[in-house]
Order: sequence, then C-alpha cells, then structure tokens
Amino acid sequence: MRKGILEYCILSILSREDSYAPKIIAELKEAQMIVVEGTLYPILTRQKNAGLLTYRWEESPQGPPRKYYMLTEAGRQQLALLDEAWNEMVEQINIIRHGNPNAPQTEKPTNATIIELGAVVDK
Amino acid sequence: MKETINVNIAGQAFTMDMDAYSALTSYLDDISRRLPETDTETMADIEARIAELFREKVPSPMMVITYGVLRNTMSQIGRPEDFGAANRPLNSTLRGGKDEHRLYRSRHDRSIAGVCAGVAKYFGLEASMVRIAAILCIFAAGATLWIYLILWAVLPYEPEA
Repeated sequence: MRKGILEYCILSILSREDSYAPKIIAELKEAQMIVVEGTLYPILTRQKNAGLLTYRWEESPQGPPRKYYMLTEAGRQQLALLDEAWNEMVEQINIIRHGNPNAPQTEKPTNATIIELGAVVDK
Repeated sequence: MKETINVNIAGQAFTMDMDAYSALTSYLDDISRRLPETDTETMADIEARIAELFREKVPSPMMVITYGVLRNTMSQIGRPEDFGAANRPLNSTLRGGKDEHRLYRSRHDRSIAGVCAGVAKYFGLEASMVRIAAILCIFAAGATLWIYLILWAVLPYEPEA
C-alpha cells in the first residue's frame, strides 16, 4: 500500500511541474515519504512503461543532461482518479474514527473500499 | 599506497580505489537482480545518479573515489534490500567460491534424480523449463534418456546447504 501511495505522490508532484529525479526525491524526502533515493527509480520506470509519464532530455547547468519527467494524458486521468479515491478514503476513515453525526447508517466504509483504493493505487 | 581503477559510470570517468570498485560492482549486481530482468533503464538511471553523487562529493576528476565516499553514496541510494526481494541469483562471475558453479544434482528440487534442476542451476535456467526440454528431447531424439541416466550416475549431489 505504501508503494501505491508513493506512486500517487509522484504523479502529484509531476502534475505541478515537470521535474527530474533528484528534485522529486528532495520533495519526497521533505515530506518524509522516502528516506532512500534508489527506490524512486524503479517506480518511475514502471510508470513510464505504463504510459503515465514520459520524459525528455534537458541540458543541466552543471554535468550531463537530465531526464525531465512529465505526466501524459493517461497520467493526468490516473491522478484525477487517485485524488478522488484518496478524498473518499480520508472521508471514510474520518467517519470511522469519529463516527458520523449526520447519517449513521449510510455508506459504512468497509475493508472492501480500502482494498479497492489499494487496487486503484497499485494500478 | 593503494591500487586504483578507471571506470566509466553513465558516461563519466572516475578513478576508484579497488576496494570501492569491487564493492560498487557487487552492490549494483545485487540491486539489478531485484529488478525485473528486462529493466536496464532503471539500472541506467541509478548509475547516472551514482555518477552525479560522486561528482558532488568528489568534484575534482583528479581525486579518487574512496570506499568511504562510496559507502556514503550507497547509504543515500539505499540498501539492495530496499529494492525488494531478489528474483534471480547473483551473476555467476561475482559469486564467491568456484565450487558454487559446478554441475551437481539438486538435493531439494527434484522430480526423479535432481539432474534437470542441477543443469538448470548451472546455466541459470528455470528447472521446469529444463525438464520440459528434456522430456521433449527424449521423444524427439535417441540419446537424451541415456544422457540423463549417465548424468544421474556420474554427477555428485550438491553439497549440503
């Protein structure tokens, strides 16, 4: 599940602006989502192969050119889907944790919905 | 005084201490066997990142990448275990003892005498593939069955783990 969340974060970061791996790492580190850098690369490759991202080579001021990653249309759609699923889950968890004052019987979140989210995220 | 080696990492030249070099080689090998076999791209990305970190830590091309610099870099990239479970054995060239790369009969993975699994291990193949191939060959050509029986008789068991 954590891996799925990480993929969600990467899409989210890239939706703000195109970025290159070390910068993505810095952002993830700042949010304490990852501690070691290496694990990012397999995910980027996987997402690229899944058609969610593409990259272009761009000259960097120092050193060799960098791979700039950006979202594809499919990536944007996936991200929208994940955003929705995430909001839904936060809401559901909140209901679980604090009880639902408005409608106690409607839409009790179950494990199934959480697993469903996991499946969406893993995709 | 220490022996050094010149290496090319992601298109950049580095001079490394021998001990750092061999540690890096087995580190990369360990990571690559935890990624899907076809995934050379991720390895290239990781190597590029390692080159970048080396440059950051040792800006002068005249200076040597020591074991300390390497260890520091590796801790930043992460342990091989962070990349998940290994899905294939280490490259044979980097295995420790030469004993490991000999043809044995398998003790544990066996349908009849462990010959196929032993052959599979020797060539780094899937045991079931070797078995299927062997069975097909038995029906296709004459000698396979005899070869199997001879290997059964001749090959020692692999050493106990």
